[in-house]
Amino acid sequence: MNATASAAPAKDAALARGVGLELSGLHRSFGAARALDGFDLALAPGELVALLGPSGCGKTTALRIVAGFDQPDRGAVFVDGADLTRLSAAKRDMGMVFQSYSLFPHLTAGQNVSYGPRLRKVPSGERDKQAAELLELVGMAGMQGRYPHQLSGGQQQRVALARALAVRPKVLLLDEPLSALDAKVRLQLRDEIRRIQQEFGITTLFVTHDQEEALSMADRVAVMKDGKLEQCAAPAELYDRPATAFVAEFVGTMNHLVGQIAADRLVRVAGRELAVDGECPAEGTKVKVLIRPEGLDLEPIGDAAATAGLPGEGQILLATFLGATTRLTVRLGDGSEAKADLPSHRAAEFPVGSSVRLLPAPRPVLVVAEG
Amino acid sequence: MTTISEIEAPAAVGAAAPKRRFDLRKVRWWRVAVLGVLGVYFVVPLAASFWFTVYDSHTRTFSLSPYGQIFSAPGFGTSVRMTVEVALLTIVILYALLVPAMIAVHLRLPKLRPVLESLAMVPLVLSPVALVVGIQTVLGWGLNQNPGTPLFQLAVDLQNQNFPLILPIVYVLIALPFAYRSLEAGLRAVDLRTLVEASRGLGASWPVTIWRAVLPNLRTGLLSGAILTLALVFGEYTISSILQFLPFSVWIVQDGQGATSGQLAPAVSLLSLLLSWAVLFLVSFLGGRRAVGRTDRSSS
Repeated sequence: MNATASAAPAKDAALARGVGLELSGLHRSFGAARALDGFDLALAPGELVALLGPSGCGKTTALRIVAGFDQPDRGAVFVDGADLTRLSAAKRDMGMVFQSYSLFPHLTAGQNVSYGPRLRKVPSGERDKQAAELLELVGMAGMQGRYPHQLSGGQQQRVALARALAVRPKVLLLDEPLSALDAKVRLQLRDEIRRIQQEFGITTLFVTHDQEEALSMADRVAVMKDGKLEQCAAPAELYDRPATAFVAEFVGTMNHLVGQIAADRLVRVAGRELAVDGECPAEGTKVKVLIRPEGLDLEPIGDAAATAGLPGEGQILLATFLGATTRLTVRLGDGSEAKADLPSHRAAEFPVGSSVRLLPAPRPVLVVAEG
Repeated sequence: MTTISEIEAPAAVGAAAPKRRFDLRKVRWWRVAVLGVLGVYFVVPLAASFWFTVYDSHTRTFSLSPYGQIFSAPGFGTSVRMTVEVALLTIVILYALLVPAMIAVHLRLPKLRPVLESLAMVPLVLSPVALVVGIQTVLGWGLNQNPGTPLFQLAVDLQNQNFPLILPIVYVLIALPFAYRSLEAGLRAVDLRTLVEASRGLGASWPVTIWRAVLPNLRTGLLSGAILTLALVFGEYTISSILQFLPFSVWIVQDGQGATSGQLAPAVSLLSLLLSWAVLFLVSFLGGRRAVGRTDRSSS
């Protein structure tokens, strides 16, 4: 299929490229529950930022405020420098794809895509042509005449994406659009959304509770907690250098090893001394040391040493094959567990039940005082 | 240029279910018996009415002439036209009040839903006689005002014999529970919030959103509410009779009795009943088709 030629006009005509989006000091409460508590976020033109956080952290509220479906108690939303906070949703020129299937059930796929252009009084012929091009762009060529109930969930979300793009949105808002889809379709569609977003260079705010989705799709990931921004950074930075203990624990898998502050900005853990990144309690304080599974190596030890229960020593409890790596779960002498990701060819050296010693990589670590 | 080349398989539309073979041995006879009793209960009176309209006991002959006389009977056309106009105005007023109120309650004030429901159900326990006596008193009070005053003129206009505005106003009350239930069922069957937000987000104003995105998806509920209201208005006798108007139901009793040894009135009643059933069947059929559509979607 030569989609390049046919979809290019849609691309040119459909979108106003790259505008900045800024959320400034947003506060929103629902009764006693505080959904947003001074939330700030800025998106550069053409950037895709994922809002990630646990349920109830306020990410959907923030998105709804940007869309104009909800109003903040305080704070403002700026698009391209213009304050849109009190502007009606109908006048914001934003495209949104919802979590639930939001196509109009009484309209065909083509009519759904043409809904926005029709409101903007685009002539009928042009509307149909644009709808056909956008549907082709999202892989739904020739399905203009299908009604939503004749489409699968993934196909409906593709049409919803085409419908959102058809109004030349300044900002694209995605509210967990993939969460209702099965795993295979989700993987396929997320790559396509990302590719289309990059092609059009459209500023996009994407709400998800799926870390993998956020880390794989976004230019930056904004982690939220209790209505506030914890950290907004590129996926690799967020993973490798989490700014707070919450981010460290929320994003990816994290080990909590028992340690003690040995000196200023130095923690002793599993027989090694590591530099402390971020906040460091006073010397002598017992702490939890946060280390990712890939930041732990193992070495075999004799059984006698393991039974002594020295810090960082234990027995292999479980081996989970993950492909290139194998995750080994170690039960430590104090009863806690630690996970270490090793290349699969090395994991064979550590059969279940064998005694091992943890070897933390010599990198700065985050610590949390034991409470 | 990017396109999505691999598309997941479309939903199986109308996938054929395995056919069931009819097996006489599996028929539950008690069900047949219950249905039979119900059938007799409904069919016997109708059959008796039909027999009465077509059999002349004096001449001992059969004739369909009462059915032929219906459309030429004096007053028939006027009463039907008035009833249809009253019914249409009732439906318009009813939906003009109910649709925005129910949408607002569903979207913005869900806690008020039980209150609205209770209010909508009140007319069920309202005695038509008590209601009409109250209305008569108010209208009488209006007519006792000085001629030329707005209240007097209003009372006169409300009781205009050609088009009594008071009837649709009263019928709105009586039809409220039925229209409410029909609309409520329709609203619960759609994701109203998402529909509205999708439409608003695409640039539609509130009126356009309701007209183009919401109402088309409530059409089954709207239609069944309208049909119930129409049937109710066509069958209502007490209020219009006491207020001395001559809609269809009152005409059947008063004027229709005169012709052809009283055979015309039951003939008209039977015909209107068959028409009502046909319309209700149509509504059920449309509702069934919508339900099948939803099942297809949910299965994907």
